[in-house]
Amino acid sequence: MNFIYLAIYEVQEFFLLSLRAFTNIFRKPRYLQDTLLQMDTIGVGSLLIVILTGFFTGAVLALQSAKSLKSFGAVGLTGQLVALSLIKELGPVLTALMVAGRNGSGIASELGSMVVTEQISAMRALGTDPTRKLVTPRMVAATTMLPLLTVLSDLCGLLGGWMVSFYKLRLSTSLYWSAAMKAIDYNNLLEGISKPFIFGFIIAMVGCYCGLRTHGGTQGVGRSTTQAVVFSSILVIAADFFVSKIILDLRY
Amino acid sequence: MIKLAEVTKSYWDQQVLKGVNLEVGRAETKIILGGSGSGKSTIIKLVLGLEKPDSGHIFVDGEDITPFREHELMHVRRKFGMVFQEGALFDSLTVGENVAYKMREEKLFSEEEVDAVVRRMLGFVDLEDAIDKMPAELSGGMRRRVAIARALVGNPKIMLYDEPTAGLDPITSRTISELVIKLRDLEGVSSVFVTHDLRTAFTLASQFAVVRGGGDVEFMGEDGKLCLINTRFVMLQDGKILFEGTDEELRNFSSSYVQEFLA
Ligand SMILES: Nc1ncnc2c1ncn2[C@@H]1O[C@H](COP(=O)(O)OP(=O)(O)O)[C@@H](O)[C@H]1O
Ligand SMILES: [Mg+2]
Repeated sequence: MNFIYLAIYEVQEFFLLSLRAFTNIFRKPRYLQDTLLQMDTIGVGSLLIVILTGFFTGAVLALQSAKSLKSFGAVGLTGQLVALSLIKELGPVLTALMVAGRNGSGIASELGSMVVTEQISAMRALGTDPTRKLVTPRMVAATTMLPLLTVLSDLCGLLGGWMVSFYKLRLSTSLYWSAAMKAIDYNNLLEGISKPFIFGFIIAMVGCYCGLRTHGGTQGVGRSTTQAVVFSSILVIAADFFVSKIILDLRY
Repeated sequence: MIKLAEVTKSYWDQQVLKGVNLEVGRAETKIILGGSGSGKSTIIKLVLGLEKPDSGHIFVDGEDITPFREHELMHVRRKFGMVFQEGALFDSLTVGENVAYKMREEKLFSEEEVDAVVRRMLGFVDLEDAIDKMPAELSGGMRRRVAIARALVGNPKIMLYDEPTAGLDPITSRTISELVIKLRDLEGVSSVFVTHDLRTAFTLASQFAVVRGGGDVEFMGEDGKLCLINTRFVMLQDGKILFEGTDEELRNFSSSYVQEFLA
């Protein structure tokens, strides 16, 4: 009973924080400087890991799918399969998981240590609303940067797939890319771009929520950081399922 | 200026304050003593509106702040300067930026005005040279002094200190007590001073500052004839106020808890 009560309480607090962080966008004061700084840490800071994961995901997709396609005599479709899986699912999800591990944990530990050293209280005492100065900039930065990172990751994945197709599978460049282009239509792109918006929001809000509810000193910061990564990863994958389901239902 | 009436507060199932009544007048200093976990910091957080009481009322300048929402509390908080336990400096900002924080947030001042105030406040705590340092580079005592400088921006009428001398050596503690005495006696600032450092507490209750001809500040002890009446002790035990009075009364108070605390 107590556990259920607690869970409902946490969910409610999470939604209230998200709601406030979101409505802050439309009212002053806004913290542009802080938002740009967060965009830099989330966007520019994650470039390398996103490029690398994207590239190798595309490469392994080409490798594995070519093997299956060969049995149907359809190796020529490798490009299409790689592009489809990347753009709709693996690009958004893997990028989000990488960013959750890198920035979700960073957000939680930064805010968590600000809580335990009373910097959050000090901020409120000095007349600043921490949701405005800390949460909203992170939310805006993550929701805008994750789609960009995802597009980049998709492109690197296609490149990785091409390299495997060309050098290993001996497919012609034009065959690979024309197959890939078939997968890139309006609907798939919409799905591939709308997901990272939602994932970015989840990562930032879970990171902020876990960070702000930190208690119990330095140990508490460690706990919040772990929780932020675990919860945001699970939520990203769950949200991926529901968004895919909704889009499929809408389309057919 | 501050009044707490029958304030109670619990965290989950633990009742921290069980009906606290407390009043702090103009230019008066209340020293709150009590063991750790007795709810001293909680009292200060309630006064600032950082936490809400479960029942009871808190008045600041006659205004009941208990029903206030976060944005309504902002103008109440402007009356206070708060020095947190360990200082709570923003560790991503330099010392100068920490002190300038409040003025920059209010966006009413030019950079020259901000700079002048920052230098004056750092001058008051004798840390002008540290203006470009990061908080991590400072010693514990310096961090508390920067925290005092940051709290003084905006000339608050009430200062709240949460264990500003905890974990400091006697000489540094002395420097901090002198700052507090100067603010009380020369600027007429009210304060709530939370501590379990008795030495600092009795220094505050027995010394006063006067300005000599040349503008030098001198600290003098009360002797037999003189007794400071603007500084009083409050002793907290089990979420209730056990004692309130002057240092002499505290020493003579016959309670085993108080005597054990003083020993
Ligand atoms: N945010 C909080 N959540 C849960 N318990 C708290 C919180 N803040 C304080 N407490 C508890 O309330 C009690 C009093 O805390 P506090 O006012 O900080 O004591 P003091 O400052 O006198 O050492 C402690 O037992 C502490 O564990
Ligand atoms: Mg305390």
